[in-house]
Amino acid sequence: MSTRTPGDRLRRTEWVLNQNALARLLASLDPDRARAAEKYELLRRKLVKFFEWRGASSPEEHADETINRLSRRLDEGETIQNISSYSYGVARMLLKEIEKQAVRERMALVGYGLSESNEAASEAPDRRQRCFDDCLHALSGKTKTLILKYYEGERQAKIEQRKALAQSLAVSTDALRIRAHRIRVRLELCVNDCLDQTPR
Amino acid sequence: MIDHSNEEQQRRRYLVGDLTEEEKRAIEEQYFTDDEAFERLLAAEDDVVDEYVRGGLSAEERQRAAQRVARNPRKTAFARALARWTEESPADSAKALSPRAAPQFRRSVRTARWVAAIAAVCAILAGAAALWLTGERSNLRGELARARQEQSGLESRGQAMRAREKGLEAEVAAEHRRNEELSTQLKVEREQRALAEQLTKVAAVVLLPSLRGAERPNELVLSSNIERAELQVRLEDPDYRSFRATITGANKEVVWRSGSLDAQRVNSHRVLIVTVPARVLRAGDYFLSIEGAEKRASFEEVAEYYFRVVRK
Repeated sequence: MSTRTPGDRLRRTEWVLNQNALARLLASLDPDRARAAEKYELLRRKLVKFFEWRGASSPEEHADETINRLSRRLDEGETIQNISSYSYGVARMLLKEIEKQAVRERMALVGYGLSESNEAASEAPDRRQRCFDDCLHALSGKTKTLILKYYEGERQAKIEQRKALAQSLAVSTDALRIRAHRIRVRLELCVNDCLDQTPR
Repeated sequence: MIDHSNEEQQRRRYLVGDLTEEEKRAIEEQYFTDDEAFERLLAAEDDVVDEYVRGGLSAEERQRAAQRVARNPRKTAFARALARWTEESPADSAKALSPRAAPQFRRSVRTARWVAAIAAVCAILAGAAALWLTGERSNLRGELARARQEQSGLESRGQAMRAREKGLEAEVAAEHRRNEELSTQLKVEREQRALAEQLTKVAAVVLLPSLRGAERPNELVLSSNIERAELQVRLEDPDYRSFRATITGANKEVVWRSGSLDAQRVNSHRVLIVTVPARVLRAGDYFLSIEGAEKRASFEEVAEYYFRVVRK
């Protein structure tokens, strides 16, 4: 039985991302090198999420393939005015190829997800909870209260809670949403670092 | 305060895969160009995962979300850890001291004296066992450390070999590419010379993926002496054997349709050149839709390009 994934067949080996192409891509994102690196990371993250949310089997690989295609065009001298819109167009085309490939190989995408989840199940929940508790306590008092209150409750109660929280902080619900999400990302990173560092 | 509930609902439906293709595109176009929209979507994803682990999604949503959530095991486990904190409310801790729990507590006190005597005997036995176990544990720790060291050595050797293999693959691929490019270069130059002779009455444009409403859309400039317009697109998918093209106007009315088209090879790419009589293109905005078909298969949509015709 073949063990190749749709991503394997779509991987392009004819062109490899080189130093010049990467430099050109970064320059087209921003003239300042540090800001360009940040924008690159954000663009890649958007691409990964795009493929993930569209149910593709290897979002990271597909995001890299999109960036390769984008870099290749730039390296060949094409002028691209809006990198974000352009990369979305390239990603959509790649997605069509992936979907077609997946149908052809008759491989259920769900299979990949399930095998990965088994790996996660092997992480001891107690160890994760300890890491989570430590990371939560390392947050400042205000931040800790904000994140716990933001995610408290369910359905309508949660919506009301968030509205009240936004009012008490004198910010819009959208601003609160982004603030809570950023704290959550920090917390997740801390928990993952903790899990990687502590012995199983 | 602005009510964002509709947008929130839309984001949630996007994340559980409950939107039409058109609606998905609208959300994606927005978050690719607006970083805050992207963050709002990530925040909505947090909520969907939270609801998933707390069993708060409808059966249909749960089924749709299952495979996406399964791909993010760490995110799911994180949501579970967070839920343990946010689900604990003052009411839960009060339960521990409720009147219903009191009789059970009194019975526990009466039996406590017997338990204390038995515990004393057990403690002496446990002390002796602990001394023996300490020695054993120390030996086991030493063995474990040695095993870990060996494993780490093997892993680093494996990594070095994989890196070397990857490097060699890249070199072979680069060499292959160089050969291919050199061998086709002469052919391409000849084709280009032949093309140049025909191009005096032809306007050509290479179309790039571009969104409607983009600041600088693909632009095709047609002067009065131009008889044909050539729209060139690069094909990424190598599997399609034949193509057809349709040009529609801004209101999706069909302006022109091609017959069957074949792709051409230019350098290492496959390019499709769509030749359109210039007279059918007035000044305005157009979409070029490309459909492709594999051998003995029906046509399916491959790509769509947006372009603007400027008359001079």
